[in-house]
Amino acid sequence: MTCDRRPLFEFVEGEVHLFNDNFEQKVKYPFDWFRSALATVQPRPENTKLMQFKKWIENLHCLELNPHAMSGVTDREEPDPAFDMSNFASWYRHMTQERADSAAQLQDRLRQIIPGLGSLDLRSAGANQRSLEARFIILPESSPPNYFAISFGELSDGHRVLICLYALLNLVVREGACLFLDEPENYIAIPEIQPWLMELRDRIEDLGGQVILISHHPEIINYLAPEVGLVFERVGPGPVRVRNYEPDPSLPPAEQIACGWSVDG
Amino acid sequence: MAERIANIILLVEDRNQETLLRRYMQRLGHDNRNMRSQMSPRGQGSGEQFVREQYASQVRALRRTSTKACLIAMVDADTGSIDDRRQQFEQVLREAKENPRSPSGPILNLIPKRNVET
Repeated sequence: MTCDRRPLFEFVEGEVHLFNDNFEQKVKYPFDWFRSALATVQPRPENTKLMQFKKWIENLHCLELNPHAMSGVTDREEPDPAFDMSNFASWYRHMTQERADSAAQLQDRLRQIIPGLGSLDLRSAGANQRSLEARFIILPESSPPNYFAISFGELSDGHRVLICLYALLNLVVREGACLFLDEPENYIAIPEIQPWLMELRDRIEDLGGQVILISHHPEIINYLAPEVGLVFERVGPGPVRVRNYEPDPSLPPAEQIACGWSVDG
Repeated sequence: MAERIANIILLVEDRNQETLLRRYMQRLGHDNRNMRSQMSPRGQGSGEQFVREQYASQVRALRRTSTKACLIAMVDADTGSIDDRRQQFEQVLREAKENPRSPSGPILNLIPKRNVET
């Protein structure tokens, strides 16, 4: 690993070479070929550049939401969302402690998005266990309002994914964060896609961060491809090639891709 | 799960216009969830033709739906006059055999001169 083409970290023939912030080699030691040595390097005053990279990596998330794997019960806090967000309840539990303001903003937003939703609560369910529940208001005009609660695991697939998508916006997307999200449109209703994309754009413009969406859905392709689209292509069993999307002024991008046409020149 | 209803349709040439309009509508208290954006496939540059082509069908759809909605169509005047653009919008509706736009109706034509960047 290099910075300005000068070394910070090397792994050569089974040996780790560590360099300080002035790119001077300071330590050399053997290490297991099958493990990431970088993950084991501890912060020290002289390796701030290397630690900066590690910190950035910690803010890089690759996710593919799978509502069937999401449980409504948590027995611990987890600082990072799992690849399929199966640990949403545990991650949300962590975020309500570490980023209480953002979690409160998420609840406010979800109330606007899911009609009748009162709150998303973590209720005690035994020793260390908590159950994530969505509380819905039956009679908002009554005082106190009447609620009924549904376990997160019992919500529809679409609602679970929608909650996760807005949680990612509120709790992950910010300066320094990088999110890869595979097919975010899965399970959610078509009218929900563009508003989420709009909010994503606004958030990145306002707060920074980077999001890479992988999608085959016309809503996403038409909204984003003309401006920031990349096309991934594989011919036969060969390597995947990446190129900038070239808009065709006469066709919506999704239609162009559906036809398999590319623009010459 | 379709609980979101778009009642502000934005028909725009490009991302700059879309962002300007959305942010302005947000300032007026509207939410992204109430808006639906229709943008030229080019994404950038002149999408004036796209807006004109879509205008009549969007007006027709708006007049047929029972949902209370409005259409905001935006086209830069560029080097022409605002009146030229206004007449182009009117011409599109005439050719589509649609009634003309009423000043107090739910259809708004925005024509920045010379363009949104200036």
